[in-house]
Amino acid sequence: MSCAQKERVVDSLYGELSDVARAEFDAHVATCDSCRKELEVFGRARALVRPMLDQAAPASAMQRLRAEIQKQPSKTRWWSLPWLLPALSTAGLALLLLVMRTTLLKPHPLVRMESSPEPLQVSVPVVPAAKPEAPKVAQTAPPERQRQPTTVGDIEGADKLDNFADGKRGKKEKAQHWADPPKSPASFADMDSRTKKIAQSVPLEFPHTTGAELSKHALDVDELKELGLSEGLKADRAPVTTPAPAMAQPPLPSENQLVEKASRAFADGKWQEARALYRELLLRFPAHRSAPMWKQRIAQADVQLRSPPTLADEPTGGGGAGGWARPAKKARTVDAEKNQLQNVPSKK
Amino acid sequence: MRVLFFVNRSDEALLIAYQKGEGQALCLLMQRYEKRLWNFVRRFVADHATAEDLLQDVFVRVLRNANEWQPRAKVSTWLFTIARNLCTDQARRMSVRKARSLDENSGDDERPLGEKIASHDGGAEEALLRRESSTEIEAALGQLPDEQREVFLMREVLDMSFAEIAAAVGASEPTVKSRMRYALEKLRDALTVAEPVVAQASESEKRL
Repeated sequence: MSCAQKERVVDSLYGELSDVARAEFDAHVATCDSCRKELEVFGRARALVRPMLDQAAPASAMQRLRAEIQKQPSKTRWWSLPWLLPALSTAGLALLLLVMRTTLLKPHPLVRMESSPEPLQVSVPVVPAAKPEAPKVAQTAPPERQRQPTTVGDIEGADKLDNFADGKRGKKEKAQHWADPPKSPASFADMDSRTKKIAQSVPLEFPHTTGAELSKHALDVDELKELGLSEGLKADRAPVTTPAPAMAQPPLPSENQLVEKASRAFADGKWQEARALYRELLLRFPAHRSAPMWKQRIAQADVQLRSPPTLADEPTGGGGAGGWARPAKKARTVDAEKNQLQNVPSKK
Repeated sequence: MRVLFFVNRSDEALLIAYQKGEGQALCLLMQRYEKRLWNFVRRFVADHATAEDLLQDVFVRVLRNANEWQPRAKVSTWLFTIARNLCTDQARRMSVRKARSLDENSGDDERPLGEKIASHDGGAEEALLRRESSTEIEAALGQLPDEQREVFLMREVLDMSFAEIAAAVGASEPTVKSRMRYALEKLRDALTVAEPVVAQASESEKRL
């Protein structure tokens, strides 16, 4: 005779009854010998089977598995590497510290403006901290000034450029300085002793003006460009990356030396030498206030040498252009006309 | 370090980690189920060497199918299903060989081997003489039909619920419970042979 609750023995044995069903079945088992004995026998059988089902596995399967995994191409991704976590942590901490240092130590812009005006200068990094000194700025002068003779006026201008360097004058004043340079003194004799000394020490040309040195004063050159005064600078500007070394050229004789030599030669009757010296003076300093006197002396030397006039192409007031191409019989007439124009008594 | 990282992870997390390239994760997962899989395979096929080969096949099959596993499936159920399918395939092949050998004569005994196994006369007497319960239980377990043995082992060894077993074997839950009951009754019979007291109680119950 089988019990109707026998189907529940297996569920009860493996704990698959609900609490209510289990309570009911337990109450039934208390009264049903059949179910109770079956539970006991099944339980004893399970207890006997269990040790047989708890044996250790052979190592061969895991070894095979590891070998098969080793054969597979590596799919390990960079973000799953073991070093990634500490590395990212360190990098993140460093970044955090950097951000904190930047944000915490940096004053507020308004506070900075009120506290001191210096940060405003720092905010313009293109401008060099130190303005070029006066002689160097003079080296960056427009080419027309370099072609002109160096006079005491340049030295005076250098004094003014110091003011530029100090920021005491504006761009317009600087541009005016370059466009209309100060006039030089009437003569070497008009200079005071200090100015004479400085004038003698300053070379007439600036052979050491190279592109590299110009690049040091990039601000001034750029400003000059803006003002339209940089013509000719390009020719002097060498590539910045390969600055040419300053060439050591022998300094040309100064104006004073030339004038002195020319005067001495003229006084000594060395017409050829005096003529050449005055001609050089005229070529180098055509706007000099003594230029008319130099022309007269050249003409006098020409007369003395009885040579054809060499200043046909010089601005002599209009007279004898192309005169020395004329026939020889008319040369004397031409000389007389020239001498008359230049208020030089012609030698008969 | 990576092994320690995966120690407390769930089975599903380990398998996902393997799918993302962590071979160590699959090794750790299989270490968790190695013993249960072995005992399941070992009791499913009687031969030790065959069971060992079969366990390797289970591991390799898991390795090859790991990338196809979907997170919605329970890893243990997925693993045991793989093991169960391989075991049933192996049991089917063995049954074919067994059937072939049972038809042949064995030794000097005129009766086929199948008749000797089916006969309870000599076996019961030997069993009574030995009174070795565990041996009887082990023998009874080996003589269970495959569908009963797999249900019993899945329940006892793999600790699967009857619902999970039903899903794994493709049968209804009452059918699974019925197979379980049959398996338990046969084990009880083996125990009755080994333990006369229990056997007597069982006989008296039958007479009633």
